[in-house]
Amino acid sequence: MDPELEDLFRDDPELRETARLLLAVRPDPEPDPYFRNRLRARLVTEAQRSLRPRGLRSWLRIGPGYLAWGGATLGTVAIAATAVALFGTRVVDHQTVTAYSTIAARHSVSPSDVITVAFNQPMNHTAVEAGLHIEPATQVTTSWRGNELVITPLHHLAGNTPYTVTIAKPALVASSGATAAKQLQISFGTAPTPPPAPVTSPLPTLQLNDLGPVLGDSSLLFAPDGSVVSTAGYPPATTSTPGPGATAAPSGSPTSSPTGTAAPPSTSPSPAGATSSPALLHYASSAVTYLGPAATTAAFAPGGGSLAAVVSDANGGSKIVASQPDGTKPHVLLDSAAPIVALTWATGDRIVYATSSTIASVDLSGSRSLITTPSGNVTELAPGGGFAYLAPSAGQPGLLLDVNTGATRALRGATSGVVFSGDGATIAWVSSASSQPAIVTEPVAQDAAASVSTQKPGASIGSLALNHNGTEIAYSLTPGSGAAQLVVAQLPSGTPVATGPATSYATFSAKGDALAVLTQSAAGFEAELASITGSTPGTTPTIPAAASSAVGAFVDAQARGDAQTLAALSSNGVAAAASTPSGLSRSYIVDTVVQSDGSVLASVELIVDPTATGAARVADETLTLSSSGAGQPYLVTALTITPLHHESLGPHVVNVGSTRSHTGFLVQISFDSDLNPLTVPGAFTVVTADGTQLTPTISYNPDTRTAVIALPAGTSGRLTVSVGSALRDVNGQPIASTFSTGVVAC
Amino acid sequence: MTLPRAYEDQLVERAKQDADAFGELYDHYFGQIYRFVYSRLHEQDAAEDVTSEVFFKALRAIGRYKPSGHPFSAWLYQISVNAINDHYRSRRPVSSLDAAIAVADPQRPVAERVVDSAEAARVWAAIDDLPAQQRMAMTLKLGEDLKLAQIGRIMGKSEGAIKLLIHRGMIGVRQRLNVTAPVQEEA
Repeated sequence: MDPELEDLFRDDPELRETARLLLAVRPDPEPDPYFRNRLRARLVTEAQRSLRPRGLRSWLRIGPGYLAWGGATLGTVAIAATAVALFGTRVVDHQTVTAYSTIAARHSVSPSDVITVAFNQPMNHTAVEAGLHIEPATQVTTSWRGNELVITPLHHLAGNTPYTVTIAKPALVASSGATAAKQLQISFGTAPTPPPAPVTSPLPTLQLNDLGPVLGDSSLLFAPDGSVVSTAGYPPATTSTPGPGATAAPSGSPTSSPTGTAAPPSTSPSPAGATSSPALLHYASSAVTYLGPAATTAAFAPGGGSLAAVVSDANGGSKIVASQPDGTKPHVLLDSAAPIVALTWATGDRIVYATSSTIASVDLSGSRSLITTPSGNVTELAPGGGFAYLAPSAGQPGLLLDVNTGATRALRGATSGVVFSGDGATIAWVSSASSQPAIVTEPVAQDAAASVSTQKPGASIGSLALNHNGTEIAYSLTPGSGAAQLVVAQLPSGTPVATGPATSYATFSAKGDALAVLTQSAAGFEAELASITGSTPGTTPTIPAAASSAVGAFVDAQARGDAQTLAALSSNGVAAAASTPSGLSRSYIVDTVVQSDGSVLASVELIVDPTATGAARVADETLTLSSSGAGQPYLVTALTITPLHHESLGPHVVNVGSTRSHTGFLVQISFDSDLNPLTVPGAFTVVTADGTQLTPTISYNPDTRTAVIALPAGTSGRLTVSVGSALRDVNGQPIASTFSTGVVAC
Repeated sequence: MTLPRAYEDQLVERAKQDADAFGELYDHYFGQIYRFVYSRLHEQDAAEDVTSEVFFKALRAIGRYKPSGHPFSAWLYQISVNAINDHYRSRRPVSSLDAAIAVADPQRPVAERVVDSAEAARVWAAIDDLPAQQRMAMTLKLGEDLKLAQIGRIMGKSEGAIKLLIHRGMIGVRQRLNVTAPVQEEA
């Protein structure tokens, strides 16, 4: 609950409970989207009238004709109308004809949106469609809703991209024969989300092996030998007995412990196939072993010498029960009146645990020590206990707490679903900071959040899991239409390495070669194990996660003019804010490479979106980032930025990635334009360090506008990949400028 | 969601001259303001009218807006509070006391009574019968998660006075749900 309310009603539990109830059931009315859009249109129109400099008013020429027409049309079609062009007619009554678009001049249009242009009179459809042109080149289908032209991109719009839609003046012909005084131009930008992650094709599918039925809120963990433990699994009839030491109940525990071959007697309905109450279970290859009563969370000590589990004490509090890894010799370390929400091992003999309001430690002798009482509700502890996540409150995002210093920092858009990597050095969450959910990762040691590309922008994201060192992530993806799926992807590129059926929970093994997941069916929840075939973490040269996050955070800060963040991410003497052009609309990282001295070089594009009166302008930036040592943050030590210049026509490279897959080594190059697929194979060359030209297999994925250059297994060393002028977009325009990049296959 | 302060300040400055920037402010704050207004009025038509009034007033006044250390939303809430008061002055508010009493059953713990959304809405409606100042403070705190200091600025009161209003308001809600005592009137 809101700390201010907690404080206000600290001495009155009844009022505190009333406050909790009100918070739990507060109304959340859904505004009528038509009203929202209509009001926006009215406001923007009024703002244009009252705020813009005088010179522009005459250009817009909003007149009574618009209002009369708008009233008739907007009643049924929701249009957030922004004036985009006016064109006069040749008719003698001098009628003013107007066109409006829902997205003109907006900078964060969803990539899945359609483009609409509403005319104030019936138009010659064939002529208008023939005059339609979109930059970057985009294949579209068109349809009409009355006088409104609906332009639907065949492969969605590209994310984080400035667009200009024009309809040539001669094509703007009304059914009446009226013609336009000028061409129609609509400029907008898509949401500042990363471009879709490249796809390695074909992606391996995770094969799930059933372990057994579990409670829906059970969590899973890997034992030191790579087998799986569930905190609340339903034991089958053949559950193995624990070792001799485990036949007695933990001292002081009110929960019965099994004493024979059968698991504890059933006290609640169990799913099909399950015969007993949930318990802490170990799934070995040959048998399911009872480790103890059902727990809310559990963890193995570093080295695997002990197991700690949090179990309910039946009085609203929790007990921490420590045992041998096989569940034998259980003993209660402490009994907390407040529920324990998280637990981790700091060392082989010391546990850090958290209630919602305190973080404390207890060693194997039962000696306790209060570490801190954070001003917020703790919901997660990083492995090792150095950091904790505090749930959002009072309209603020969740906070990352440095347990040792007490310092906190906000995690942009974080609400729930926050996870830490196994080494505790990286945190990931689903951000709700923008209109579309996004995965964000950040090193715990540095305020440098970076978004992770997903395959389907706009899809709902959940069930995050990070591997041990934060180089891979698993997440569930639920698109608006279509089946939900589990995706395993590399970080920081977001390149998927495997997919699988939808899950409600996932966790990586320590080696990163397996996932334990919960799946749901009509019969209930099942714990399952999947090996991540095709993914070979560690063999692909990856950018250090901290460097990747720092680059992402730096260019994000440039785009929003955040001088404070730029200074925090720069070395002394680097005038980042002063060097960054003002008025940027967006930025993106084209390419990131690790240099031989360990520094990281990033190629970045800084963009000012096009306007009704001017084309898009770009600045090319090169960043150098270095770290002073292991575990130290990466800072920008040098940057060069060209002056803003008009963007040349033709496809632009927006992202380069590489990965080792089960089929070989893949380089993916993504573009902002729909490419002519026939021109793709001949446009790429790959040359080794000694000058040998390789002959890769090249394919093109139109959904992600990505060329995939596949090199056979065994390819190694530094490669130079070039894109030549043979590459054409679907409009026949050659690549804006030839492109070369270096990648290392190892 | 709160915009980063530096960005918000820049955006507001741009919105004094740039319709697109004002549109961006609208995109960001529409949901909050509509929700707040609706939570006070409970009628879609009235909420839409007042929300429109709030943003048009904001547009007309944004040239005079000066950052005060509080989020821009505090200014919008301030306009909203005035617009809601204007609305109530022009219409007699509909009492929802019956609705609040409908959930009251002293024999059951309150938690058990909140079993579905309809009943939950009636529980929240108990706030409607509080005196106006308590109602406003309660709505801004429990409905909008604002800080006490922000509420104080919006309502023109000290943080201590807001605490008092919320404390008394919570007692009032509790009494209405239990129907154990008459409403405590505002001091």
